[in-house]
Amino acid sequence: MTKVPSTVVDCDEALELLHEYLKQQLTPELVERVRAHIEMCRPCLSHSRFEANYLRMLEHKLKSITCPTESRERILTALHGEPPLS
Amino acid sequence: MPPIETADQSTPESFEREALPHLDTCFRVACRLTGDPSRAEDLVQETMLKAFRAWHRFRPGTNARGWLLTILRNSFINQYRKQKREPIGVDIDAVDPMAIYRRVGQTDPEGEFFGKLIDRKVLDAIDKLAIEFREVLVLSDIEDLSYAEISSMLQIPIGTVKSRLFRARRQLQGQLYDHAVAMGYISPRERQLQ
Repeated sequence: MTKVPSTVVDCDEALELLHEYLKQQLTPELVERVRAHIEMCRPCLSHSRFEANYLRMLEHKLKSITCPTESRERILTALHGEPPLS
Repeated sequence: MPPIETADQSTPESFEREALPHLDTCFRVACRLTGDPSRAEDLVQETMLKAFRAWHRFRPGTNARGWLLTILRNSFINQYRKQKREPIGVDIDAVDPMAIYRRVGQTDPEGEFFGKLIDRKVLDAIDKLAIEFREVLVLSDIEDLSYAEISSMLQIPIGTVKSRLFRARRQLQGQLYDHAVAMGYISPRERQLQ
């Protein structure tokens, strides 16, 4: 039998907690309460998909940036010029 | 009782193993803080040198990424204060605080317009945020640090991390929306009531 969360949050609370929910920053109990609401509320489900797409886009576009090879080499050269660790 | 690992682990090899894999993360965060790749390189170099010199103070097995980013952020703030001589985090707040979803939810409920945005435009929009909003957004939404890690790094309460993130996301979405409308990726709509 599925455990039903004691209190399901309402729309205002779900939207207030939405980003924390999507970023997995909520306690397991709150996750269940928000999930239970979103699963039964179409507008909140839609809003949740929108925000999830936004967060995915940000990570996708920005996490591919890496330190350029020349910069990396200059940084490593500076580190090699340091006196040895005592 | 297991021995406590501390200074005897501070070898160049352990630095290479634990700190250097975070070079790209440091560079990305530095780029967004400084808004300039060449200043970012200087900031990362300064960070790595400071970290190397203080490596004996790092506790192996703890969060090297958080430790490096704290050094990086403190170095940046010190430079920033010296150069600007003005309070950090002037709130531009020119963006309507209404969630963008409420404006485009009818026409683009999945937020497909986000995928059409050019990377450079997204970077520019982030760089326009006030530093106090920019840094939490970068640490949370790009580098995936937990709210607790950000709170400890910035020495601000978790509630402040949340409220800054809330405003940072709204401001960024607002800018991206305006750009998407200007480029014709989405049609502007009359504002709807909350």
